[in-house]
Amino acid sequence: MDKKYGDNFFDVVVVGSGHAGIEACLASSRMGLKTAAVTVNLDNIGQMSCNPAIGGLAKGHLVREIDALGGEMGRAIDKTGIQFRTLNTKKGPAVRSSRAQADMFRYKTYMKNVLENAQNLTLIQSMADALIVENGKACGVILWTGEKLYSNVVILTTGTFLRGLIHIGLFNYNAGRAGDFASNNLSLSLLENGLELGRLKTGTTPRLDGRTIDFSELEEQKGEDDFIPFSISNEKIYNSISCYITYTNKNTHGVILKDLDKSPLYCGVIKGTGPRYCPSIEDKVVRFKDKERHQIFLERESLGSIEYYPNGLSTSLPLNTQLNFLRTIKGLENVKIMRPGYAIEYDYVLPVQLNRSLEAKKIDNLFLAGQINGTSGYEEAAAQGIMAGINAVMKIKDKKPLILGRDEAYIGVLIDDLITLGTAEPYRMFTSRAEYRLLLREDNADFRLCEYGKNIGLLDEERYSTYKERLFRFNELIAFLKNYENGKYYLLLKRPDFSTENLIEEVGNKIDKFTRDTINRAGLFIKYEGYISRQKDEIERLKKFEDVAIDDCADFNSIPGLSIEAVEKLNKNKPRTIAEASKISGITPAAIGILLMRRRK
Amino acid sequence: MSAMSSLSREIDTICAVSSPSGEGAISIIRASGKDCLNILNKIFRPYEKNLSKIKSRYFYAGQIFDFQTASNIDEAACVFIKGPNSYTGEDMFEIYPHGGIFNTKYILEIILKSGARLALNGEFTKRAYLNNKINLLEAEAVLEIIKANSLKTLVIANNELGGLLEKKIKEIKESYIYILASVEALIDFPDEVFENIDSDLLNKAGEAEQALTYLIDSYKNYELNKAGFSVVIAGAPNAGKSNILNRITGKDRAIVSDVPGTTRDYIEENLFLFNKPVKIIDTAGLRETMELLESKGVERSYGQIKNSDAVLYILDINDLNEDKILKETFDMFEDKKDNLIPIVNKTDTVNKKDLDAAEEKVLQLFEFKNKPVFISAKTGSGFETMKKELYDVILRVEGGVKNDVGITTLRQKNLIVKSLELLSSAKDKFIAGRPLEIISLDLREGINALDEIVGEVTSEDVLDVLFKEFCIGK
Repeated sequence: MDKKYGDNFFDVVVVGSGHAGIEACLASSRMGLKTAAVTVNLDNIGQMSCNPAIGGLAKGHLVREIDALGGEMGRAIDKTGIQFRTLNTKKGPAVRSSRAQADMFRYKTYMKNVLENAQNLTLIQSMADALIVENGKACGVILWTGEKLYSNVVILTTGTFLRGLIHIGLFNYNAGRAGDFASNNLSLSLLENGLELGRLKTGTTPRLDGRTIDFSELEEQKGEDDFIPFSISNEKIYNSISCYITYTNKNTHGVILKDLDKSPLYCGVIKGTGPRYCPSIEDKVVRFKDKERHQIFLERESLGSIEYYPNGLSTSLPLNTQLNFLRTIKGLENVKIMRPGYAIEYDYVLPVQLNRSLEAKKIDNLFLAGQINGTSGYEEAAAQGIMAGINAVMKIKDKKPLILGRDEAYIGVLIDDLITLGTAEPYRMFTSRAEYRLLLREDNADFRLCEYGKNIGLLDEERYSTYKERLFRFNELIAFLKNYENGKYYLLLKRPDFSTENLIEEVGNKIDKFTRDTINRAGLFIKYEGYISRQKDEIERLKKFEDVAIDDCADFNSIPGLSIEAVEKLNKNKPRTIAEASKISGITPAAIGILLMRRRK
Repeated sequence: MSAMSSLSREIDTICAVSSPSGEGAISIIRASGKDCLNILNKIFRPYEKNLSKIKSRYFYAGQIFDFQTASNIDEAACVFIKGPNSYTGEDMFEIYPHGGIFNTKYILEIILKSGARLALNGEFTKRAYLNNKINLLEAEAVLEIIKANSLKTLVIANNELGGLLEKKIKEIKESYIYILASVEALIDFPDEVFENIDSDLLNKAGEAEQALTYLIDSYKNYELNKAGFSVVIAGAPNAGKSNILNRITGKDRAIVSDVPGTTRDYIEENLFLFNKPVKIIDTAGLRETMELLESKGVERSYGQIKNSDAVLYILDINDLNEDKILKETFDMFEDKKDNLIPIVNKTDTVNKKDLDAAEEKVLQLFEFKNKPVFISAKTGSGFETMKKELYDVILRVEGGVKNDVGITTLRQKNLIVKSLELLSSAKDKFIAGRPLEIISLDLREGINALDEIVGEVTSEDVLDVLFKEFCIGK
């Protein structure tokens, strides 16, 4: 069959339409390239396979960063969220994070509509079975029906689908997630093309019938109406539900411990490594024997459904055991399970095999994003998706890739961690991973990234002008505070005991033209200015190293003076800069010195 | 970049005479770098016939060959050690020629002409550090061992080299990381319930503060020890302390007179007692006085006693009534009791009968741990016994230092002080309810200061503790 542009030949083919795939295909199509999105099930675009929520600690940051670059996730959750909260309001302003419960069905519908309305984007329901690689360059995929899709760039966002294997107790079956086919052939194609794969495990909770839950005695958690929307383009959100809190108890733990021999985790059936921060309930009970109870959040999945997600009860115990332990919990005495909890094992590509642009080092024009890179979470996936989409376009247009630094965005931290350190468990973003978290706040995501979004041609005019207006107001307020009464309030705001509330009390009438959001941002900026400049100095110092590039085709074997161990590690990781090389464990200062010297010649 | 120029030297081959300068039985010449084997093949002719090549870690006897004159010039042994399993991590060799001054120097010159260059001070150890064979602490320890002048300083430095100091610092770091992990848990898992996290955190901080303070204090001790074993001569005025100092040192160092209280300030003298470096300190006589200058001197005497390793307490044989001041001194320095030697002076002024009576009286009046020594500073009688007693005390004190761990350099001390300040600041802020991300910043910098002493920490370390210690996860 002849290649026909727009039919079987595209600039970009994106495999997968989960949270990574959505951002990837929207980025490339919005930036003007003919894009195809291939998904195994068009009804599950943007499916929330686990928790029906967007945001959370450090994840809220990612969502706002995606939005500032021109992504869709923030807009989608603002429109389809049913409960919005700010976390850590008492802990400190730089680590405040936004979280929203989604109406998962409306979220999916919203995303499908956005994709259907995108120009340059073709949606295809099919499964990719193999990569087409010619001369070390990806140039399309072979579908399971045998047809070929050709492209300049391939982006893989296959999530948990690669040789996905679901476990419920000792029963298991092949699936990408409950209800969808696994992709059993693509892994082999990746291996054949020289990529190294690993195996991970994650899990989810049973879904409960809300009609059988007694909420009357449970603690209620309401949303916040003054929540600042995730997206620059939205002004308001609407809360329509509450969540409820309950706890496990000794009886729950007893039931779980008794049936541990039926857990695939504990009898060695599951080989993949699971996430430490999101352990199954059986893991928590075993590892923290002294803990008498574990907190459970009951979260409604949709206004159009009575299914509830009991957050904190991920499990792969047999269905019977799941029901037994659930019924020991307050409020769940008569509960019915609609869908069982399960664990899923899947293949991932060791992310150290990628460049900073998310392009594979070994295969040109192949980009990977999302869980295939060993991450976990919708937001982490979307963040990689948008970067892969952007950089696929940059590659095709022969422009420099967009690389965000660790000091510019959580997205930068995420990608830098993945490609330099790799990951042996599902990688989740934490604020503690960011060494410059005072700089990387949710409130300044637009200030940090909108210019990038605009420059690459992804951020729309509407969001960009809102950002410009906010920036202008912010600078105006800072200038005012610096001058008013000789900067008295500027200095006062630096003190820990003087808040923006105090400021409004004292000079409210002078600053009433500024929004509360602007005042808060300015207050925070002033309060942290000292610490931030300390961090900026450090960044400058490190930058000197960061920029020293190592020759792309450097043959480390031929460099005299390097130990065999160092050569091995350098060849394996292929660092692109001195800074990257110095992060590889086992690389000595002496080896770095030799690399520096060599570069000089 | 100046770092560059020094790094460019790291891969060439360095060489130096490692044995002390001067004539001896055998010299040691040492080399390290990639050309070692080439150089060795060029200058060394092993006796072993049919030797195809020099093997690593074998001891060879042979001749040193001077390629300039094409003649053998000395019989020597040598050993080649293949990197990276060598001290520096590079290829190394050592040559053991005869210990003459000329031949050693000449062999060194041949080696230098074969492509090596003269090593800078401490360069072998520096290479070991750069090649990750030893850490900075160990490198410093090597230097301190070379400079050690007493068993105590040697043991402390060797404990440092053996990793005991590193272990101690790592323990502190573990507490630190626990505290940081607690703070990060509170930040990153806002919906989790952590029981007792505040009090656990503060307890750990207290422990870490204590351990850091201990290390800071240990530096002071180490410095004192480096100055040698200190012996204080104390006692009532006019008991003859200065005379004793003068006789021990063989110098007229202290002014002596019959007027009690002639010595107003302390006087220090360094000497070798047999093979031990000892610092002897003569102090102002201990008595209650209204005179300002003298009372200052008395105050200092107590300070000297406090910091000393041993005390020679001088009594006047003609004035053996229960010494109130001695008793007070005893009470004040309970821990020094074992190391206090009573010295009864001026035996030349009494006859044999009075001497015997005095001996009995001393034993009756005071409960000394050590046997009193009777001397005469005037005639020198009893001095040898006194020195032997003192020597025994030194051996005993040094014998008890096996587990002494401490810091040994100012660099280490400054970093530990910095770390302690940051920890205390973090603790205060936590109690005051300041933002956790700021507290985390202090803690991270505090850990970095500890790391600068030893190795490195990654955020992965913090996460490890976080997941191990706290029940986390939704």
